[in-house]
Amino acid sequence: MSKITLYSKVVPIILIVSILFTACDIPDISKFSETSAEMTRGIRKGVKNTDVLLDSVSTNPLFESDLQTAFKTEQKKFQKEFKTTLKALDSLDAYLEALNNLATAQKKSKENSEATVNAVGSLVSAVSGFTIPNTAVKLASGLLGLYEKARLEKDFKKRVNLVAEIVEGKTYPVMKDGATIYVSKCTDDAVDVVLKSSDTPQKKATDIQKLGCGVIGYLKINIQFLKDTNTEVSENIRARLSSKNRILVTYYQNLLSNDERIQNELAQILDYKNIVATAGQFQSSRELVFKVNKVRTENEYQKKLDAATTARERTRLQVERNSKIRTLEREKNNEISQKTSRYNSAANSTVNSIISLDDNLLQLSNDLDQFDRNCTPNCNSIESQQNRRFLIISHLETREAELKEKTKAFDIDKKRIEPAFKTVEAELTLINDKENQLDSLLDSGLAALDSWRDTHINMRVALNTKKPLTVSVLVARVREMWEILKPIAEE
Amino acid sequence: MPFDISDINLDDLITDEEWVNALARILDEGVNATPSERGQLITFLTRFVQKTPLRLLPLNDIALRLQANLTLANLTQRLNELAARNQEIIILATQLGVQIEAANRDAGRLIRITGEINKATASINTIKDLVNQLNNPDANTSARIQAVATALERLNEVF
Repeated sequence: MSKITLYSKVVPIILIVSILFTACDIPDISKFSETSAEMTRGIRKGVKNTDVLLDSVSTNPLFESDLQTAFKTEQKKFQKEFKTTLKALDSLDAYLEALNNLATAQKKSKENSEATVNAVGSLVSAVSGFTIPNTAVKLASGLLGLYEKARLEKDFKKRVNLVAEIVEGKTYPVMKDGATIYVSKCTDDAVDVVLKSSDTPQKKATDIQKLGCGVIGYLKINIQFLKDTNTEVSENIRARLSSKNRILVTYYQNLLSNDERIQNELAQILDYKNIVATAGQFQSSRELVFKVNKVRTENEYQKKLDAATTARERTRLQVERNSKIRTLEREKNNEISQKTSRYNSAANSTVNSIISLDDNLLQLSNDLDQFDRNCTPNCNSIESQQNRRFLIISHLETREAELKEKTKAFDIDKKRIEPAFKTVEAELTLINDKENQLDSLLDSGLAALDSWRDTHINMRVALNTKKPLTVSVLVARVREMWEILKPIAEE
Repeated sequence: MPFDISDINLDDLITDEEWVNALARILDEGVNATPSERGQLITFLTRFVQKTPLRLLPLNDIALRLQANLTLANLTQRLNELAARNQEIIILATQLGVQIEAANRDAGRLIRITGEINKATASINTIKDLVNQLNNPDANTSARIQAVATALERLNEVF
């Protein structure tokens, strides 16, 4: 064979290999595969935790033995029936792993084929001036066979498209705005309607089948089952724990509420005393201000009087001085009167509020009112008000001492039963926390499954458009699941 | 009568009779309730046992038993529904399994092809080396060229 003939045979090999291994760009699905595995691991944890919850009831002394047995029976059924769900999760993992293997193998194949292309190219340069046997022709035909057999991009697409209906569910063409769009009948609402009906289990299964739900749809229905079971079983444990400790909890709560009532009364007594003291302080300070102003006025006029030359002038100044002092005194009395009236109003309001808590104060107040009605007109004087305040404060101080004694007694009682109450409270908190954690995990699982379906749809788009596959939403959902699971994992 | 417990306001119940009537009503509602309605009753009963006056604590025994029975009824019904749906999940998982096998087969075939391409590359590189020595081929070099050429011919059989 001439070197020209050899060259003409080798060049197609280079072209075939180049075309074969550069055209088939399967998107990188390693992140999808990895995240999906994390998602299914999180959902498996949800199944396991529900199983643990059912198991805890079957050994919980809060439940009668016949109920424990009944829950144990249901737990066994649960374990049996959920095996299929776990297998479906395994299938999702296996599917993406297989696709990933395919993508990885294709990538390696591409790299190696490039090495072949380079080697053949080098051979072409090396054979200049030399003739070798017709091996190259056969090699070319071998690679042509390879070209025919390894149209893996199409195979990959074929797999993904065939699987679409199985995992994503059936879609139906619908005309919208003049274009055909594909919609699924297996919506959350449609499934909800079927599940909430009073039909038989078989009828419900058939109805859901008619909705064309795929693996993801079925997994979502089963996760909803876990959510409902978690809520309902947790309610049972919570109710039984609350009921068993009703006396303890009620007693403790009454102690707290009684103590709060006492603190409230003590605070109001303090408030009353504060108002009275503030009123007194205001009166004293205003009297002092008046005295200072009076002295200043007198001094000011004394100078003027000393300087006055006529008796008439002196008389005028004396009249003016006395008038100014009277004005100052009137202003002072007005201010004290106005402010005292407001303080009295606040004090009376506080007393009325305390009266609702203290029967003896009510009696005292009634007696004082009666006394006011029966006595002379002088009863409404400031002196009478002061006497009234004095009597009320005396009473309140006695009451304050009584209340403080009661608070001490409550404190002792509270400390006595607090450890038992805290234990019950901690148990209830634990039940709530576990329920909320599992509920959140399952909610995130539901959202992750939706994202998984969207990512699978995107993968088909990526294959057609040669755009990279983005899995960021799924990654975020799965990360959310594991954030919720963190405390459990740490346990 | 459609299911409705919205008119039972636990905070409004005062007398013993009112509490007893409320529980009797819940018992009646539970008889023909759907799973979702049972779920509402289960939640309601927790509040019921938390609010019963201490003098009526024996009512809680009835309420708690009812709550457990409603929960078990829901569990049984949902598990039966799950069992009925499992058949369809098995079919879907089997269909998926077929595609998984096919994809793995494709991947395996590609790996095998990759291996053969590696061999082809090595063979071509060997030829290239030998060609470079062919100015004065000795018997040994000629034999090696022949061996590599034969290997390449056999390689063709792989595809």
